Amino acid sequence: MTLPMTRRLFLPLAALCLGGAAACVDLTEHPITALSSSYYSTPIGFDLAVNASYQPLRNWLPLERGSTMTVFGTDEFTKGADGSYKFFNDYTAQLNGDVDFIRDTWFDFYKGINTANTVIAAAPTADVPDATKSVRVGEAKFLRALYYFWLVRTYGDIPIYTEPNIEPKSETTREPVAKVYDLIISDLLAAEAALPDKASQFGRADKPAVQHLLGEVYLTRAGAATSSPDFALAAAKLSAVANNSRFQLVPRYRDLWRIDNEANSEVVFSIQFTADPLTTGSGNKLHLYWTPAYDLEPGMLRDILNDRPFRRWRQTKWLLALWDRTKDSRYEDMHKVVWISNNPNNIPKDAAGKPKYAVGDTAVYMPGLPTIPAAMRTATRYKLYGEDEYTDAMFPNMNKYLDPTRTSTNQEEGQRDHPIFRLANTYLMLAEALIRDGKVTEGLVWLNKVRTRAAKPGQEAAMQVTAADLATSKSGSDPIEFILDERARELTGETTRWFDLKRTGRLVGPLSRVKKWNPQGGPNIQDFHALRPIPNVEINANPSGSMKQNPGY
Amino acid sequence: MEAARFRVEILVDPYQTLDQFNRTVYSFGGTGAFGYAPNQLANPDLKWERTATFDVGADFAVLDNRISGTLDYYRANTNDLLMDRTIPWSTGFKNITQNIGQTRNTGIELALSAIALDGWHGFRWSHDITFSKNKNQIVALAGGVDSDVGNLWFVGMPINGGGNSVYRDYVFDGIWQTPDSALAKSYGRRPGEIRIVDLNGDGKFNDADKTILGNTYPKWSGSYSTRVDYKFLDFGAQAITRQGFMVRNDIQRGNTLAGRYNGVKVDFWTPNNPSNTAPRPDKNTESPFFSDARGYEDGSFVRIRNITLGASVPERYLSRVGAQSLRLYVTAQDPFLYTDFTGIDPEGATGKVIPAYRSFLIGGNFGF
Repeated sequence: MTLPMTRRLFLPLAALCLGGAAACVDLTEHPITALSSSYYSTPIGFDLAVNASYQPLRNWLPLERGSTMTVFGTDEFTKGADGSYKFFNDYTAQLNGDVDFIRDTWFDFYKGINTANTVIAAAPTADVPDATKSVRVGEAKFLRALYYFWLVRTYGDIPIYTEPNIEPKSETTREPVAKVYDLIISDLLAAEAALPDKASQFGRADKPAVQHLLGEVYLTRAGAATSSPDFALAAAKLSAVANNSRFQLVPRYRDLWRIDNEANSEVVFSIQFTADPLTTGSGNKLHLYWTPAYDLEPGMLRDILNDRPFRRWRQTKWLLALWDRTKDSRYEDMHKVVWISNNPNNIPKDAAGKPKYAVGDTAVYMPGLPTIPAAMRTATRYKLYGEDEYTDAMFPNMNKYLDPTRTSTNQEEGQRDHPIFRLANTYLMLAEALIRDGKVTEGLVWLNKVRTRAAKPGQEAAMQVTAADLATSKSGSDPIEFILDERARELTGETTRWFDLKRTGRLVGPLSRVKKWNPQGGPNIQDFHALRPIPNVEINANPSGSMKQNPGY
Repeated sequence: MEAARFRVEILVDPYQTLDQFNRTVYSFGGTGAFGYAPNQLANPDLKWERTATFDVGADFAVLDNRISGTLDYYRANTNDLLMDRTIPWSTGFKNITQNIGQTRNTGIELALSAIALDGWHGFRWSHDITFSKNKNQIVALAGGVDSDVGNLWFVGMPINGGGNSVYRDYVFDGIWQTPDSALAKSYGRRPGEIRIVDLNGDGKFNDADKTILGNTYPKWSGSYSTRVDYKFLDFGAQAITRQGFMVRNDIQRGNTLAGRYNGVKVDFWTPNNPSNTAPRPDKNTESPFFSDARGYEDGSFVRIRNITLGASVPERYLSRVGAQSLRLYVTAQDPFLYTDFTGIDPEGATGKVIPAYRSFLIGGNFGF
């Protein structure tokens, strides 16, 4: 007769307690090897907390999570064939507070904020030279501001913590957006004063990075307003970066995206990755998402050079028509439109049964024509795609993030740095701040610098724009429309678009560009979509109901 | 009659009271920059979990021990139950181990043995039956609250955690059918998609429409085994059962119907096949809307755990090979399962995992 279950459970435990009587009585132990928060005041511990504050940068924009929340569901990109998060593009009811991207974004940034708070709180007692200490606190404040800036734009009113949490809380409350901006700006002003013009290591925050971010924060706080004191504040910070001799536009747009050119003269701040699996973490995965299904084409198979085809995001028709390709080099510079045959086993054969071409010859070409003329098709051995033939799986490959240095075809971890603050973006924001503040001529100077660099040889003059051009963009007469168009031409896919549309009042509402140009998201997007849902796990962890969901969700 | 009272105290991990850190990886200009971020809150107030168990039992035997048994009643009161509690994630921490309240386990256990035949024409035939019924409930929660939705803890209901789950989710209501198109549209849904119940009737589907669907605690469980010996032959069989508990069919829930991943064959909806069980295939939704509402099923089952037939070769045939004893047997392990559960196995393989094997053995025991 065996013992009933419950007794079997309890008897051994009772025996354990009696047998090891000492363990039951004397619990006093003085752990010396375990870390405890006082460790953060030691020189090494302090440094480790600073390093840890940077880590959340890697968890968002360079992964599907953050890029889905900034690239998808905009005027630039709509859904490709694959992916489990198409509702971010389609703005359907599946976008709710249970979605893991919504939940994990929230947690990662709040964890980063808590780590940054730990640095700031440990500083007064830290056994570190004062000069180093003030720089590190400046970095922590920059990161805290950046995490709050991503959170407040994504979720609206949010809880604010400026001290590390050292005991469990079961109540949190949402603070108004304006209060979050106050904290962001005061943190950034403190960081600006504390940080050197050039950081001791590439990839650490320094003064220009703070100024670029401050400029964007002021512009965002101004919103779609026609006049605001924030425009002048933004312009002051952005011009400090724009006039900083450390930075120059890279002469040719295409060179920005060379993988051996990650630390180019245009990088104001970039999220860091390495080629070493030990230090690159989950890696930069952006190379995956813009790649079409080239491996299903004749003469082709999947390989490292052509990257792994996740086909998540497809250009909208509006985006494809945005560049004047006779003058502007950027469409060609940022798109891969030719695939070279790498598979002898599926090359099409001619009437005589001979392969039409060999490995190493062109297999697929997208010449960018609206339609392929019949005569051209019959005269061509390889496969041609007209723009009218693009599908959810096959479209030009935005090449900014391609990573041919990966060691295997299906490796997801890429080594590219992700430049989130780039000088051309500084120029465009500066131009915007000046133009919207009535200083059109001054603003055009910066806008035209970006356009001059983008010009095809000999087209520099033709690329210049005037005040009249600003008001006659085909997207509308408000200069904001031209500026947003130019941002799409220059910053295509650079994980900022959703926020750009939101801050200029072009995400939702009567001027929504999603409604106009995103055929899947357009019919569904409503005003409440300007905020993402609060994670249900946060709401439900507040027993008194103090956390409320955003309206509409 | 016997009665016993004893107490057990548990503390999970001696370092659980301290704050802890996790290692992070970053880099600056190609140089690794490791770090340590706060990852677990310090918890100096953590106390022992104390369980006081009262157990009263009776052993009995009648008819010259041909029928015997044990009946037990127990009640275990646990104070300061230790459990991971979800806290607001905005704190930078997801949960903390805490003394979260009081629970009570009460139950009865019955074991009966009967020897039906004892030497009748050389037969010996015995039966063993066990039956147990357990009730777990939360008596009080820390802080004096009645409910903690984030952790699915509610006074009067069983505890979520520690190997058992309480399920809170949407209520599956079939599939949106074409005649209901207008109503479906008002919820932003289309015919062919999964329909759920709008519990609070606010015309929207959101978290407020989730409710407690059930839990994994069985209402009762039991077993039956029998053994027959006749001369050199022996036969034994055992059946077990667990009744009245919920399992989550993760194969059903993960059936994407998007044409990208393999799935189980289901009667999916099409305009011409108004199925009310599985939604329309849709290449654009790799996880169908409200997919989570599916797959909550009654896991009740009866399983034949074991059937064995053995034969002992009489000693006189063994001396020639120098053996003392030899028994040959065939065994079927887990040969039959009777359940309405539509997944693989309600006892464990509720998702795409390897189920318990059905194994058949032929063997021999030699003694030298």
